[in-house]
Amino acid sequence: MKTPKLLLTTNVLILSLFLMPLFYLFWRFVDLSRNLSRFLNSWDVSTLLINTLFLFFAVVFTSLLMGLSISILTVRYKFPGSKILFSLTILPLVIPSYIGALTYVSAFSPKGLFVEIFSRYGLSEITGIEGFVGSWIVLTLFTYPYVQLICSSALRNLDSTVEDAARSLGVKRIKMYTSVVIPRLKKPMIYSSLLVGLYVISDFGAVSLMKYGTMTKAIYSYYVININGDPVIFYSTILIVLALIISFAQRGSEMSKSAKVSGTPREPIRIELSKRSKYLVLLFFGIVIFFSLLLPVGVLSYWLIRGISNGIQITGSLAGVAGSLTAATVTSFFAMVIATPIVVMISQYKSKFGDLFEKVTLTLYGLPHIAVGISMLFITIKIFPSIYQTFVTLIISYLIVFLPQAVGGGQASMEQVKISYIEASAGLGLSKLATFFKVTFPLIYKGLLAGAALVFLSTMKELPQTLLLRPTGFSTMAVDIWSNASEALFTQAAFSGFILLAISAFPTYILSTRNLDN
Amino acid sequence: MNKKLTVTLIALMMVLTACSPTAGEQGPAGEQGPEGPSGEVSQDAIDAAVEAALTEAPPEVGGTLVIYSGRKESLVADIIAEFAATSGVEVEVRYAKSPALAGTVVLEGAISPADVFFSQDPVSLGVIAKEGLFDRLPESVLDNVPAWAVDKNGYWVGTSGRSRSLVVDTRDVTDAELPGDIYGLADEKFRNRLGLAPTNGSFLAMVACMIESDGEEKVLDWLTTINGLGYGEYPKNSPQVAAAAAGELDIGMINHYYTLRVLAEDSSAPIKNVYLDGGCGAMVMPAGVGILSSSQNKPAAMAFVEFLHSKSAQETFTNTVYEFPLVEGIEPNALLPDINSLNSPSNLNWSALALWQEKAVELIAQAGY
Repeated sequence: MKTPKLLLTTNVLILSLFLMPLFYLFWRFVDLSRNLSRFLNSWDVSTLLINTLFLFFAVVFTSLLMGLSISILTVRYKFPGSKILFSLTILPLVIPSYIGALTYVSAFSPKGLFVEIFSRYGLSEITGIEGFVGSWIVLTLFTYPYVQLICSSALRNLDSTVEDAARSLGVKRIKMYTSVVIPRLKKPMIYSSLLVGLYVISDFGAVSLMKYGTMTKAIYSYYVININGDPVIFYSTILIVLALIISFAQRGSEMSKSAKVSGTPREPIRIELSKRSKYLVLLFFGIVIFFSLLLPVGVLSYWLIRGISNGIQITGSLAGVAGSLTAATVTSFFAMVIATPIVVMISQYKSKFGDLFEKVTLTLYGLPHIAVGISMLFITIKIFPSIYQTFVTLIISYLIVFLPQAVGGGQASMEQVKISYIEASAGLGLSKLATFFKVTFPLIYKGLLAGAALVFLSTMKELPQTLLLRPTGFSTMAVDIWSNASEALFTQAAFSGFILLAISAFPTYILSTRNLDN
Repeated sequence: MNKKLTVTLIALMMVLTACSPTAGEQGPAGEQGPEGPSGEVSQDAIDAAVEAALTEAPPEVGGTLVIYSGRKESLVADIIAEFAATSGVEVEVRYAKSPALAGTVVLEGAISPADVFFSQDPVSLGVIAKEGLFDRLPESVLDNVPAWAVDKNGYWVGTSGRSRSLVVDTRDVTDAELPGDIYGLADEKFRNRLGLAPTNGSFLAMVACMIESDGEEKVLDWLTTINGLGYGEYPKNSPQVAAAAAGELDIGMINHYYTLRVLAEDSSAPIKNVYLDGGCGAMVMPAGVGILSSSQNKPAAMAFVEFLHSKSAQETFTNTVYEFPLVEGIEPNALLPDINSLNSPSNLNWSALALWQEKAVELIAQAGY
């Protein structure tokens, strides 16, 4: 079917608006590139790039290892509590990297909480966790659930007869996984490593707190010391290009569908573990859950309890809670509204342009927030001063990076809308718009709502864009955590952190598991 | 296609901009102008003005005041709240680091929503002054403080004084091993013992001062050597003091008052301030304030500047922040050394330092920080 003009125009307009931060940076970059050689000499581009990529590969590798192990263990083996352990290992997804890093820095600083607890056993000082190692640990612990979610659902759909055959031929367990299972999980593995990888190169909170010199940290430092200098633009553009390269490596939506592997699905046989192996597996889960969930939540609780028992008043934090909720509500509402025509266009009126459009839209997801924020800051000051430092700008910049989540949610449910329904509706004399409201929308609104809920959760914990673009006097929980922690007001930071986790835990869990079951 | 796209894009942006000025948060601040409705001035009005001046009634101010504060919320929120309460001005504060705010004001230019810029360091003030974005302040305000704490062109005025210092862990550092000036820190014996905050405004100001007095090459050399020795990087000054107290850091390059804050709470903390003898490492800097030319509410802005020189604000600076008061007749806190005993470079030209700020940033990056 031909795409209606109005639909096409609306979508193209919105997408062009959303791509403005990219165009602006590229335009400024072209201006700068005349003295490119001077930049390359005076700034340590290579070090920052190497640091960023080094962290990228390290985190992707360990996340894959952890995520795959958990998936294989929970999907293919029987042991007590496997269901609940699976759920608990997904939950670290709700902990933003800056909260994770903050608790780790505090717990494992040379004379931190860890030393305090073990001082009675003669421990007086440890080598603190920071820099590369710190960023690596923290980012792995809070990104492996992406791998777990995607790979476990792929594994569930993966016909296990091949494995049974291999096993009956006497192939050893490890060999069986490396030669039979993992090759068939290649696509979901690549897809999840890209998600993790994009998270890593865009991460700002963890690397800043861990003092590890990556691109994002450099951009923020340059923003602080001299926003008008060239390095801010220079590094933001390089980081965006890096993200685009990674995104395009994903080859659009192809990947996400690859989890459905051919073969007659049948109830996979789950192998009983020996007693000794059971203990080892439980120990493994114990360690993962301790470090990725109990430790951060424990440190937050400790700060809160210590602060309150010392009589510290928690002041002003409720404004941040209100700010986060307002921003998240408004953003998710508009995300849903904007995503609807996009979903209809790319799913219902399949065309080459629609495919391209889809790819471009999904690319927005991987854009590093700090670079988008910097670009929006310049754009609003230089081109649209009337919306500078307003709520409008903040919401637009949230929408730019979170729209793909809403589109994704809508797309999933759009598969239920058969072309024949639309044709039947047209045959009955309904207009296109009426068809949309009477046929399409009732079928897809649940998916759109799920997408909007994801946008809500992401917006609530967004940090770098909020720091750069928020209206004066407007605060969110993320900003409160960040600024209180940087002034060592840990009780206040812990309070906002707790509320943030409490609000997001349940919905994140439901959404992330639900989306994959469909 | 391309052309069409551009046109439609522009159209959309116009719609967007057209509907936005109402977006509550940033509406134009207080509209009441300082001048009366007509040009003529009656004798009654003059009498009233003279009488008001004589009885020192608070000036009529109101509306909204937007303050960009490079000074930390935990240090100045109370002072600002007191100003809001006593003046009746509705105050909105944007807290960030001084250099970031100064850069932002320059980027914003005429559209800046800020009325005043309250800075932690003179260099950030100089960055704005250099761009001609400040109004000149009246003599009456400039005369409140000593001449070294005032911009030569009268674009900003100091509000309190702060000295560069070293915080040392007294368990691990002896007085004898400490150098006389900042260049002495670039020494093998301080390998892995130093701390600094490379993005901190005061640190940048010190580097700018070093460039101004000693030349680029020497400063780059110093920065490179310190980097080679291995240093603890901190986001700001206060964590260096905490680290020194905890035994994690031997020597931190900071401003003096962070140490005093810790000592005021716990006099047995094993740390102390060392004030270098001369050179930029001994620099005493003013924190200060300026009024932006683009301000929509200059009466309130002026009232705020004057308030920062009031007895109450000055006493807060010295007794809760442990800074040097700048207004005559205010007793400095007992923990402070005599400001006259500090060997700060004399005749520092803060505007010149602002010119070196960019170079300082570049050298710091070049040295691999």
